[in-house]
Amino acid sequence: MIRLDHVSKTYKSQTRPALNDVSVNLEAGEFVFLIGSSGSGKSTFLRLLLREERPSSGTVHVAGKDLNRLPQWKVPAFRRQIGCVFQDFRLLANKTVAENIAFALEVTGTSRHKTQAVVPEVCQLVGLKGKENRLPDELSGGEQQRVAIARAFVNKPILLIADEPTGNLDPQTSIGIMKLLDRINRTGTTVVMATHDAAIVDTMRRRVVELDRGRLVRDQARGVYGYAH
Amino acid sequence: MRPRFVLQEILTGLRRNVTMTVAVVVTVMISLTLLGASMLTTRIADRMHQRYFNQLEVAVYLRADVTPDQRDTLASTLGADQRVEKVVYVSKEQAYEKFKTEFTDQPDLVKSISGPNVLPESFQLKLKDPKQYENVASKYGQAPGVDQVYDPQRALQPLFDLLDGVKTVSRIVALVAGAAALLTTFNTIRLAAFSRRREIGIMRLVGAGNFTIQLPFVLEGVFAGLLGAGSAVGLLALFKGWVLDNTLKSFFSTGVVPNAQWSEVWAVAPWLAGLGILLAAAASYLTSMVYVRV
Repeated sequence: MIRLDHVSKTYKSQTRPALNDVSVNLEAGEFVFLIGSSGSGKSTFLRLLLREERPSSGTVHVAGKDLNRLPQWKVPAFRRQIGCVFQDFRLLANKTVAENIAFALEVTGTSRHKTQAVVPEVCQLVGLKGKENRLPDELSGGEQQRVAIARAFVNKPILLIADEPTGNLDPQTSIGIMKLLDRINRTGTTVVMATHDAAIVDTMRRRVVELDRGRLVRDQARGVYGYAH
Repeated sequence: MRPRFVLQEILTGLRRNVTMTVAVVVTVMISLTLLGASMLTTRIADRMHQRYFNQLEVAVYLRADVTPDQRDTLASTLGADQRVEKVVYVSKEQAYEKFKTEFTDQPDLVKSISGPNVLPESFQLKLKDPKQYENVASKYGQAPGVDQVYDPQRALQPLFDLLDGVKTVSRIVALVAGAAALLTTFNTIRLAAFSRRREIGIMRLVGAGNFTIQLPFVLEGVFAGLLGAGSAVGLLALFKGWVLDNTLKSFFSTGVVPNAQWSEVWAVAPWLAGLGILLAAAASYLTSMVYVRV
């Protein structure tokens, strides 16, 4: 699903590479935690998967595509296969729950008929049934993140990228979000999640990939958050 | 993309950016109005040219009491004159017919002439070299039977200079206002892109194409351009109906400078609309390309 070969990335204004010779292979259907302190290169890793950035050297393969060779005009179609969730939810404040979810379909040209069929389905899946007409402001943090997950999932992506999705949530709410992500993973969607939340990593016991100052320092099949922290 | 969704996005964008949209509409309107004014002036000048210059260049008007002998003598001397390329005799009746067809747009003026007897008969000359006018005029101006020698080009030159001046000034101001309109459009789209950065960010993440992301911006530009062009046409129509047809009525009724026709105003309108939409859409597209990179 995802293969990085000797990937390094140095940003223009910096001398130290954000990623330094990282090679890793993530299988389809895996649930992978990406951990590391701030500045370890997690965000750069995720941005490379989305082709928001290109590596300075090495190759990135996602869903069978060499992202270095993917022409610019094919990037939107590529991104439709990937769902994204962030710490700050990134919802549109002036749109309701249903409209926020439908937005992802509307801007990719899905028919109204299909949108109307799929949105309630996904609302149900993420546990927001009955709240379709609320605005984001009227929801709790956990509920807002559910909306974001619904929006990421509504296109049935093969890969879900989550950048600290529980970073703004209390532990109780986080557990609910993790259960939801786990459920999505069981539908066959590969999940890559960057996190600082040791409790979650330790509870889930999934594959752990750890970065430290741009280097891959640990890749463990059923890992815990770690000893060195 | 569903039309309703696109429309909603445009309306949201316009509402957020009302002040800048108004600025675009006003600058587009000013520049297109002046451009339209210069186009109308060009058409008027062309019509004047046709009226005065397609006829023979120099007219030798005969006195009302000219004798047939004097007329024949003049005809033969003019015909033999080396400087004259062509001589055409215009009788009173012919002059009247010509007058009627030339001034069909001013029935009052035509009515003021009671009949063929009012207009003088003349020889219309085409000179080999128009610069010879002075010599020809001095030679035949005093000839027996001649009332006066008249060179329309010379007489009307100040008016053409005036029209040229109006054209040049309105073109320059139209250009400057057009540049202002473009810059305002750039700025508006930049602001619109900024105020919609959240939507744009999400669109990019969920894999919306460039076309989808840029379309609302381009359509916002088209909308503003259309509104500006519409206002410009309205302003021109107002100018025609109010200033030209009312305030300056007595000036045009002399018939020296033809008034702008309504058909000419409508003929200019689609050009202005097309130009307004095209420029606004192109400016919006280019700006959004810079600020909405996928």
